[in-house]
Amino acid sequence: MLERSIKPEPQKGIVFEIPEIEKFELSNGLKVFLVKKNSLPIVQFNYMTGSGSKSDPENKKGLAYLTALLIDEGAGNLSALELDNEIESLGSVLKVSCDHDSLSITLLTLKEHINKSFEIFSDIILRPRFEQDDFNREHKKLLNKIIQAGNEPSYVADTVFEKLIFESSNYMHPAMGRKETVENITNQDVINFYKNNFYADNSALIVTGNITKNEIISLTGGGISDLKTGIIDEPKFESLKPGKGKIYFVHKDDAAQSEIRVGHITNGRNHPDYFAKLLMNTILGGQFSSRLNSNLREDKGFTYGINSGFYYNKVSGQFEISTAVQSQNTGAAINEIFSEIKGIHENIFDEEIEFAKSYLIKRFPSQFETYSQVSRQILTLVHYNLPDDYFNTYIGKIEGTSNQDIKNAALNYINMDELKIIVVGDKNIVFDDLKKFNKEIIELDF
Amino acid sequence: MKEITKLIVFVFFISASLFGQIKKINFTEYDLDNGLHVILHQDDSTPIVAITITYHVGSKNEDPQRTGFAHFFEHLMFEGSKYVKRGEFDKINQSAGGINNAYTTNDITHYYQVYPSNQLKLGLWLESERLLHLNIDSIGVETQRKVVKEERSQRYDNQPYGGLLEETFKRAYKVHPYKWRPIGSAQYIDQATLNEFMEFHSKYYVPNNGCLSIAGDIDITQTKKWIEEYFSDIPKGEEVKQPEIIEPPLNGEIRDTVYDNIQLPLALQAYRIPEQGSLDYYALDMLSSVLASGQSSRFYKELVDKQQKAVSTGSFLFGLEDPGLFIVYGICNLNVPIDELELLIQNELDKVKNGLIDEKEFEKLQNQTESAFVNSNSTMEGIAGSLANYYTHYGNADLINTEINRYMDVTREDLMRVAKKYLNTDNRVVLHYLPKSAKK
Repeated sequence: MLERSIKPEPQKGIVFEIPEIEKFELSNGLKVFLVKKNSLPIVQFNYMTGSGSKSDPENKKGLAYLTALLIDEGAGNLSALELDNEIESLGSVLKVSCDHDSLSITLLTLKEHINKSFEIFSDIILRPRFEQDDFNREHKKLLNKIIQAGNEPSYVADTVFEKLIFESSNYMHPAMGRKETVENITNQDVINFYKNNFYADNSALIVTGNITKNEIISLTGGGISDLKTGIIDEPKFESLKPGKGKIYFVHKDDAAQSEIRVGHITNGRNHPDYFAKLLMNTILGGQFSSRLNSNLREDKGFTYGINSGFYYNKVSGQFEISTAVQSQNTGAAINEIFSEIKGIHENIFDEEIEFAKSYLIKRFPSQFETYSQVSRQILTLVHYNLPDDYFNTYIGKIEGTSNQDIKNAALNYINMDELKIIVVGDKNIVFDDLKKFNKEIIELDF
Repeated sequence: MKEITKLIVFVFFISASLFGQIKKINFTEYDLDNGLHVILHQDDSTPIVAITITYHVGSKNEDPQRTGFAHFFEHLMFEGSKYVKRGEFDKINQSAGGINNAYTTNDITHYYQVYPSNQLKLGLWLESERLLHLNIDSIGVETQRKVVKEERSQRYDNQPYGGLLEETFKRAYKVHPYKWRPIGSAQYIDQATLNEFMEFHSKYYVPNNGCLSIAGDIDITQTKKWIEEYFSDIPKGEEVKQPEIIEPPLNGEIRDTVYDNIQLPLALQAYRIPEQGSLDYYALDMLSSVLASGQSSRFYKELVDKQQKAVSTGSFLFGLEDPGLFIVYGICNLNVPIDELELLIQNELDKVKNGLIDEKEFEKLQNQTESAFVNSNSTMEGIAGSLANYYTHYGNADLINTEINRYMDVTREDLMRVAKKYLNTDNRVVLHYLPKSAKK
């Protein structure tokens, strides 16, 4: 007879081999990272250049983003519409994306169409057309996108948060730019941005799928291996000091909820305390059973969800708590957030640490299930310049983080006095509540 | 949905979509004596396992005075059971390296857990516990009542154009329960009682109304044995009857204006279409791709690229168990009058009604359809879910391999025929979404 009261134990251990990463360089020095995955007849290419919106000129914020919108709008012999038509007829998928630190182009193709697909992919990287008509259209689209985003309370909160956290550095600006900066951008600016930032030396090619090193070399010969070489100047990042925590408020008429962000700047991804912070945050707000979510969602019912995290750009990072709550509960929710931070400073229980370690270690293999996941993992390695054995030592690093390190991470990397609080919501309902915190309140327009 | 995942700052890294398995999906299926349908698919490429269960109950089974009930109930399924204390479901799942979530549609409710493959038995235990022993109490109900209302606020009320589907469906149906969306109304979420939830569980959460589908690195014989252990003694329930409400034809255009916290107006048309699985449904699904799928689609080329009257365009096909909707829309470029955009949309629809699409475009369409079809099978969770849903909707799990043939049977003539048959003025709802500032 089955005893239902007993929780089943896992069966034998599982065997999981971390995919092997083959590293080599093309004749122009472009670094290639190859992970062979042979279960499907497909190949994914990801070209990444280490320049993004942080390289935007002062009065032309949004330039990298607009370059990303335009780079696949016609290349080589193909006009914008011809290019889309070719790619979609091959059943291939092409994506371009841009953030603060990088611009990346992804191609997913069936192995049988690899030559044709890759030729178009190479043209996009080497021979984008940047025609004036295409510029006019995409420029207008970006301006409209900015208007639309301004109506999204969550976008407003994220953007204001980043601006306050990274004040006076290149990371303070939204990747899309703002209306007044995007209006200044010309097609020539886009062409210059492309010329100044697409170099073999600051780029990488990540390949996942049913393909060998020799096949890649022959595919890229006369193509991407022609990408010019040269050193580009990295924009300077002044190290910022967090100031005294304040409340920042953006009014939205008839907002159905308040969007809340709480946090401050922290150090970068490559700091040795990375794993201690990761584990501590897993307990505080990094997953569904975290202290924050258990309290604000599962106990109080203030929100559909709340989470916290350390998020990293190339040279620095931010600690951020993020949620959306019913307007009437805005003050109460911020109070509970403070009490959870106080709580994690005071004590972290051994069983919570055991849970966090088990959670991170056991789910590790599932991060390598799909081609995209594998590719994204390698991208992280490249982006943050992590050691080659990073994945092989991952589990050991988590196991080896001491309880004291994890407790110290809370004390060292979450500073109550420096927390900036951003609220986007209905002033008529929320404002009196915020005054009770005895902090300076600064009202902002968006 | 029980929870949403946070979009992190580097949101663009997440977006690469995928091709999936092109090879055939082999599976075993059978019924337990209590009527639970079981589907098993073995694949050892990654040491993980996905355990899914679909119950044949959705918002169309709701009382019109209790809209949102099926979805509200979905939240209670995570609240604990006889041997799993409140709050423990997620802890147990996550500490074993699992992920889990659920969703509710008009027709079904679907739950999934994904684990390292050595935790299969744990997942079966948790899934069987909440079918057999779900604990429904006032603490859980009152908490989730608040959470669900915040879910509604966050995902619909506080999003630009967030009420679009609700506004469309409530006008497109007069008697059928599709007239409300699965999220329901805040008013009825407030009124749902503890007893009603208990009755709902014993009526719909019974083995004979479920399909348990598992995919991953499993041993079939061993898996069958464990399923027998955990599920076979769960008592069978009464047969579940699906509502038989027939929505009469619209018989005339419904045209209306909605005001929202937006700045760019949106023009939408929604046409009534037959139920999913019908021949015309597959033709309409392909027609929807011709119009609005990708940057080489007709809407994009004409409205966004060439004329630059729209910032974006799209179409959704709501294939549902009962007749659904075909929705097309465009968002106006700055200072473009909404009537002008609507006219352009109409022109594109008239073109597919009055002429065959050319062979090259048709070939592209078939390639795209094939890619999209294999896309859906790229993860164990996706495969298990598709098998369960094909079985639940059609009684035929093998559609995971063969549904593509139904698409490939569609001809260019079919596309023109269904356009003529369904995309007509008296068969549609037209909505203009305008900024609140435009309200006089």
